[in-house]
Amino acid sequence: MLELKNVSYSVDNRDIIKNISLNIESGDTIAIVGPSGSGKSTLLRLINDLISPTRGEIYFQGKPYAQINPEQLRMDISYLLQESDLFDFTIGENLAFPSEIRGDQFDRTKAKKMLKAVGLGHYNFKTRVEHLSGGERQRITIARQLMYTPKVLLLDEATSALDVHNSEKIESLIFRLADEGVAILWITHSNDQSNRHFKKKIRIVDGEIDEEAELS
Amino acid sequence: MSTTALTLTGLLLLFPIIVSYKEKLHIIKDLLIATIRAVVQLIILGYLLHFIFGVDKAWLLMIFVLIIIVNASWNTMSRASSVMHHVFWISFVSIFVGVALPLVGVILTGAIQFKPNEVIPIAGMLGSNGLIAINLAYQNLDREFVKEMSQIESKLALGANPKLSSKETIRTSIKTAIVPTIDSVKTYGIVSIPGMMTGLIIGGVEPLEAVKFQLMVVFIHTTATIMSALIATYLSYKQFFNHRDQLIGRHMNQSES
Repeated sequence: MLELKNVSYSVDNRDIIKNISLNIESGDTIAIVGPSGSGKSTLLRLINDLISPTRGEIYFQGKPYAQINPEQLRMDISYLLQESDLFDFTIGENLAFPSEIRGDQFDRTKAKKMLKAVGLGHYNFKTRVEHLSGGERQRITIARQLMYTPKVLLLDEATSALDVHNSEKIESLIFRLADEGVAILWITHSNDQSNRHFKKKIRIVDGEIDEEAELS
Repeated sequence: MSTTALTLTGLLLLFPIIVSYKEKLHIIKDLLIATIRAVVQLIILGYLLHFIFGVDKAWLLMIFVLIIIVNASWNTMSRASSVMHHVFWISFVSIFVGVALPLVGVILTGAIQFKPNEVIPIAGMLGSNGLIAINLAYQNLDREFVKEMSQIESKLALGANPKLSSKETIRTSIKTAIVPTIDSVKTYGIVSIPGMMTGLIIGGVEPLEAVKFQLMVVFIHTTATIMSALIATYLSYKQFFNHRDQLIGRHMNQSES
């Protein structure tokens, strides 16, 4: 479904991603690990088309990225950035943002369900976001990201601010999506997490794939 | 006023120069250039106005207004982000609309006459307000788009287009640009004593007439400021994205990974 062919990305003659080739199929669950500064987030940025490779090409459903409308592509290949935070003022505005992008009616039932799924069912849409804790904010960004089910989901340390209980809750939510055929690429530092549910683990060091291992 | 008195007053500038030197503010050069420019420009303007008021030709007046707009646009260029292109033309269109529309309005309603001594001061004021507003808007766009990109990228990553992703940034830029104008309008008569109105009263115009004239000026200069900032911001924001709707600043600043 998603194919990276000899993808490199360099800035100011510094190679951040070097010659990565990768094949991702529907339902794949891939843990991306590696030391900080090794290029993991840059790889996800490339896959989300927030930046373009300086060499090589990425294909989605057989088509090179250049031939796909960038907004459509990013709806299909959804990316929750590590530095993603909440927008505007209320929880409702955040959960409604994806429908605003698509020009759809805000699906309140689905939003309520998502809010419950991330363990924040006790809040309502009018709750203001400025007093929420770091962990609660992170869970709402996840709910916001999943208001529409993408074909590929890119996550970057998405549960870093959560305790074990909540992080397991989010994991099971996300891996249920994988069972429905969504491909998951998840940057993670926790070794626990990378082994618990993932089918595959990719280790990136200095912008290169250092190790690729099947887990199950 | 004697030239000696003026020169002595000019010595007051030594104070900011000394402060700048001691505090390493690095504004001495800017300050000196600004002062010298003001002296030269005003001397030229004084004689030019004297000439134009005397000739009273419509085409000459229009050229003069155009020169004001070109100069104002020219002076916005250094404030724009290095990412932006066609800064002069964006500013020109914005200031042109900000100056021309209110000006045409007040002439058509008969509030002022199409005469050099009425049109030129107003055009100058509208142009200079537009210039300040646009500079503030440009600086804010640069700050937001190049230095604080995470919020915009988070929206792009959800599939939002550049316009929706930058909605907040656009709003902040326009607001930043017009807040000083609104603040100054608020303090009219308490803090700032409008020069135009004072001049008219000194010149023997009835106080109420002078007030009416000043109020008209307030209305149109607020309109002009908002219009200039609005147009400049909307014409600029797309330039921070490339053809793949990616933030250009990200390519320049990619240091983290």
